[in-house]
Amino acid sequence: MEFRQHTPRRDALQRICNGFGGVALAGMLQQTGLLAEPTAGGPLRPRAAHIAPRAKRIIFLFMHGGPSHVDLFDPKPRLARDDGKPLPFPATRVTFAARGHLMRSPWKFRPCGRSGLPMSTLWRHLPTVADELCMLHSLCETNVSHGGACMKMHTGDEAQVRPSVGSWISYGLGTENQNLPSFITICPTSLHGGVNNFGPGFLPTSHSGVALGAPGYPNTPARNARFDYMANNRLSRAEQRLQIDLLAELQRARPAAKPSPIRGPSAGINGAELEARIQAFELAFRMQTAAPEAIDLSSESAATHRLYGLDDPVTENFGRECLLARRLAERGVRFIQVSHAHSLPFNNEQWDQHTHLEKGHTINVAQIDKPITALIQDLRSRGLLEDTLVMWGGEFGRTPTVQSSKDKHNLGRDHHTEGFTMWLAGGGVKGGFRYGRTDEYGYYATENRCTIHDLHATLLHLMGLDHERLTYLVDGRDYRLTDVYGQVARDILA
Amino acid sequence: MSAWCVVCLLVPVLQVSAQSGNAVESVVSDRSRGAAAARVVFDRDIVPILSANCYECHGPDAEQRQAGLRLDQRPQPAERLESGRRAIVPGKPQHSELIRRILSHGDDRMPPADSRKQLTSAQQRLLVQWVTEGGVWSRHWALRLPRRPALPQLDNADWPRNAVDMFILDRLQRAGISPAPPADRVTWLRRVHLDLTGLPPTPDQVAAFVNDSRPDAPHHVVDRLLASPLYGQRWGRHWLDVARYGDSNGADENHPYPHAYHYRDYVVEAFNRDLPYDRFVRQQLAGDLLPDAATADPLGTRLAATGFLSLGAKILAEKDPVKKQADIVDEQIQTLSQTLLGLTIGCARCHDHKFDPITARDYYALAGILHSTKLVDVALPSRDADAEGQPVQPLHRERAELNKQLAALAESSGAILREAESFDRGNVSVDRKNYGKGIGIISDPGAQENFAEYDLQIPQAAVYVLQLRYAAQNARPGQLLLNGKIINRRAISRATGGWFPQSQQWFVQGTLTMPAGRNVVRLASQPLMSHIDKLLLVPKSAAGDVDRIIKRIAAIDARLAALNSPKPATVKVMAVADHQPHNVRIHIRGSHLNLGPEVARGFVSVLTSASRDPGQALQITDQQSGRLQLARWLTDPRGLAAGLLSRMIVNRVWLWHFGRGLVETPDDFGTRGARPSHPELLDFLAVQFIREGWSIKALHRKLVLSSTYASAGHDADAAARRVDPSNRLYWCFEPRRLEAEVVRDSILFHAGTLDLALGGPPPKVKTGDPSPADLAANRRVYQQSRRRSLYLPVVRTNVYKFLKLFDFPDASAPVGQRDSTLVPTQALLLMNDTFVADQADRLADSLWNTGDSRTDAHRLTRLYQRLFGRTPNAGERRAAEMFLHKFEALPHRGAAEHRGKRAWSALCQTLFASSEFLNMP
Repeated sequence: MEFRQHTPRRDALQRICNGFGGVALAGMLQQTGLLAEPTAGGPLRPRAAHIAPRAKRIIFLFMHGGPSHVDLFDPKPRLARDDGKPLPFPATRVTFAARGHLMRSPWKFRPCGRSGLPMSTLWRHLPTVADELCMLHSLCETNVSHGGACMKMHTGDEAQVRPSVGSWISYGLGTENQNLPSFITICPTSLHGGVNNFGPGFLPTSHSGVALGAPGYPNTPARNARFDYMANNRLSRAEQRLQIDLLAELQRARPAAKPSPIRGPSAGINGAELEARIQAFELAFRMQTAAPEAIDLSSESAATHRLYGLDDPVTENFGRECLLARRLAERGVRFIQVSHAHSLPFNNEQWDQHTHLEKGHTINVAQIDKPITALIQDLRSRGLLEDTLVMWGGEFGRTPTVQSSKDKHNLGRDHHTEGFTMWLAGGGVKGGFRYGRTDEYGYYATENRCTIHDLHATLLHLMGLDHERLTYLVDGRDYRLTDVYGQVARDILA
Repeated sequence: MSAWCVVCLLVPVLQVSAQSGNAVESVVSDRSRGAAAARVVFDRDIVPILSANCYECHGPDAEQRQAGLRLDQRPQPAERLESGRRAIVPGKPQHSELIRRILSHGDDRMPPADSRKQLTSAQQRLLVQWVTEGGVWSRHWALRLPRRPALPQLDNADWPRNAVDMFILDRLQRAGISPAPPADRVTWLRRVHLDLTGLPPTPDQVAAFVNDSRPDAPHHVVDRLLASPLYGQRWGRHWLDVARYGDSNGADENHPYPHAYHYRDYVVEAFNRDLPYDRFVRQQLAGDLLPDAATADPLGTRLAATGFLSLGAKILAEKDPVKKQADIVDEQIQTLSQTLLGLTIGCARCHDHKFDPITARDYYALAGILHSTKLVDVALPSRDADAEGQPVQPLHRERAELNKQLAALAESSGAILREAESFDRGNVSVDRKNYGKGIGIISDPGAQENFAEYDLQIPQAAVYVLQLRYAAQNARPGQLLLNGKIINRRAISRATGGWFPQSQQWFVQGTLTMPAGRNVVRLASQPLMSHIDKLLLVPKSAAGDVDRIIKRIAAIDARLAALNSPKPATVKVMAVADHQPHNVRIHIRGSHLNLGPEVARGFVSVLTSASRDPGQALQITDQQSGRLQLARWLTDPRGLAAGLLSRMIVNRVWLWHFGRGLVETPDDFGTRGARPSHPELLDFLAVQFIREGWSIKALHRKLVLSSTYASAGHDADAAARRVDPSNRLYWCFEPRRLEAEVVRDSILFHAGTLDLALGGPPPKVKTGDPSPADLAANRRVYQQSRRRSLYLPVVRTNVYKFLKLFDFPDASAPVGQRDSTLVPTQALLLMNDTFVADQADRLADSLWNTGDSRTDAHRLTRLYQRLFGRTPNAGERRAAEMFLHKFEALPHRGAAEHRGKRAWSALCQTLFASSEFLNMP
């Protein structure tokens, strides 16, 4: 695949037809003959994959703060036996806070589904879809702080501003819907890299994640999530229609600036730009209808609302985010991120239970359990799960050791990078499968260690992209999402 | 078929193809100069092939080098490979291992299959021809000293106005293209105004220039623009792009950088006073270390300059202090090397550079200098503190004198001054003891619909400018009405810093067209009202003078207040300082946990050239970081580095004028960057730039007073477009979309609301951890600010959406060339953003209220003159009139008398979205 930063000037029009709606714009210009056929379509046009894709889109359920693997999915009986004892081997070189002794999980585990995946008793709904889940137990992060870890998880680099995974996928595959962005992040947090976590880095801005709901701390309530600049409380649609007609009239009446008689790639930028601007307004006018429709949940049945828990204040917010994600997935958005990123009365970040592990994780699971289960069931019943990859996880896990023992009732766990759990479901992965393993305390990954680069390589692979070939030339270097690392976790492929 | 047979077959083909290529290509590559010129040129034809396909294993990186073959340097005549063969035998491709291998079909084919690289047959031919012609090697163009080329000999000497044009015309003539005719005078004037100041000319300026028949009229315009402080606001902002200027950290934790703006103001000032570029560079790298000399800038200025090194984005929560420091140094290295020199030194952090002659040793030599430098916020004695001990009497005297002048001016011009508490009707409360101590103010008695009305007797119909003096800790906006009509729906809208008399400030609120006789001015606000002290109405003719006096009084009051305050506020700047000078060890594969040998502090050895030991070249002592030596050495006009420095900035300035660089990769002058389209012109400008004292303004004059710059920007010449569709030869002035700041500033300018003040801290916004409510509040700050866009806070990762949608950079890394996109989201913004609609209202108001604009036809003429410096043509008139007619006929809930104005506001908004408004003319 040939991607180059510096396109010749003759492609100026393609270059400027960037971003949200750029494909449709380019398509319109192609019809008017202003863009040549062979290269038309702009940067977001659908592209062929490198290899046979197993998934067409990804929904990333991001658990901000770091969920505790040993309390949710990775049972460690030895922790209970050695509760209160010191860690019998050295801790990681860099730790976030001082580390205490081993601490048992407050919850029991039980096998779920036909596959017998272990889940703690916190989960009440998720066990019904256990056989769809592919557990990755051996994730390893490189940065022990939220910011570095979030950036690493989202962009592959913990220290510099780089394109987000979603941006890379948009760049590699383009989009299937011309009236929506290729990469949408629903109610993201402004913390810990904030916009950098869905930014395009050095890739063209067309591949930027678009926030549905301004990034905030805490994140925007899902019921308030809107796209920017879609509403106008001063002018009616009829009045705006007149403005757009006027614009076209004025542009055409302008002296010495008529569209060039030459068609195709050699059409001058002047005339072509005029036409492009008119078309951009036409398209904007249409998008004012299409984009709000995509996020309007009122057309969903009452049963669907109940399925996602929109009728219960505990699950309403995250349920709404998950339902939005399904609607966007249906409409061809390539990468959709859903963020569970509010704060709790006793912890700054949703899953960051340095204290109050029991209380915090109970609240958190209650908020997401039903909506996530609903999402998987709903995707499955609509036939979307087979080519939609759902990914669940935080920027790291939590230590098997206790962090603060001052108050016996409010114990918590610290950030943990060297062995934690994420899971995948749907598009091309084995269901009811466990990959990788941590030691008997859940501290270090001991089998099939999976770095963030490995995770990214695997995601790209499932989307049909070879992580070594998906490159972008900037300042003399061909950059990759996976830098010079990354191995596909082939064992998990269905 | 053996490889050699392939060579035999290829060479004749090549001779033909070299002459029959695309016409432009042949010009661009200088191949049409007869048979001799058909030879390959190493750094144009060969380096791109080698660097993209071969250098990874046969380039500068010693660790990765295979077979002992290095292709980025001139091979020694007798040099043999590990196999004993010779890679290149000059003139004998059949004996050259390199040629055999690239043509081989066996397992030993190069590049190898697993590299996923493949040479095209054209590239193979070029390599064969290169070896056939002697395998001539030359140094990469950017690493050669620029030399002043001879001016081209031209047939048509009428067109060129200066040397720039001669180089441009030479290439055009050889391509058989005629330059486009010159743009008309109005177009040129708008172009040069927007380009040099970021704002369009006023109708008066257009008329003056159109009627100026002096042959050197353009020179006078350029002189005037370069002398305006608006120039530095525009061109300083260009530099801020490449200095990745931001008012917050971005990265992981978005802490505010409350002192960063001193660097921004330093840059604007440096451009305004045409600070020679070499001094500009030295101050940014080592302002803290430069000696105090009589001719030197004050220490505060020089410290602010070093913000260049300190205001990058950092991972603040990094728990490993060693890694944190290494990452900060890495960011500094990337920025300074790309911004100043176009070298990607940052690539050598983990290994020798793959494509350019920069080693990991070089990286850690430079890293040592920066590891011996710390980031500091330095408290400067503030300007007010400087003045401490100065008698305040002169200030009081000046204030008294100004008050007299104001009174006299008010008297002579027929101005009207009313105390706010002297209202004729109203439901507000009067306070003379507390918030109004000594002055008397009005305010609300509690939440209600507050109003105060003033009856004014006007001797004869006239236009007045109304100013209000008020104080408000938080904005309590209201409305200004004249005779029942709203004049300003967002009056009394500013926060002044407090509720008490010392925070009272004057603000222009609107223009009132008052008929003779009794007029009623009404101030209204709900639920609360600011603390209003006075109303001043000045006839429009005298308004400018009054405004100046009022501003000066305000400045004196501020100064007196500062002098009276017990602790003068100190000013802090983000700066750097030397800190425990030491060398560092090479970090193997970039890891601070895996250290190799120590490297003496220094710089890239290919540039320090003659000396093998970079530290020696820079002569760094044990007690110094080496920044001062580096800064001086880089700007030594005899050196290779100065040549590169000069080429870089000349290319940047060219790019900012013409929309594209002579080198199209402005931040990368390495082997994988672009080659200059006009190498002689670039060198000519670079050499002259140094000779003329590194003056940016002298460079501007050369460029904007050229015929090249004055060319029309339209598509008329279909033939030229066919030969050179991308206008690489500059046969016309390529129009391009204006930058985000120019779009926003122009909208405010036409609405009459733009605040042109220089410098100062940006309005406060919440950067780190903003809640949705904070974000809404931030947005209001941006939407309400009337200052030029460069003074809006640049919050990394959360750049103001208006600017961002028009491709304002994110400020995480240097941006030498902004994107220039055209997307429906821009259309959505222009259609639906309240800021745009508000300014369209203001513009429509001003057209409505002006005496001579009683008819739509008059208004349309004025609107076009203001926006585009021209009158509308018949087609445009018809379209606009039809629009107004249809718009007013649509059903609308509002009062009938407002329909006309709504339609006009919608018309103005539509013109803000037009190509003529959004593009460089």
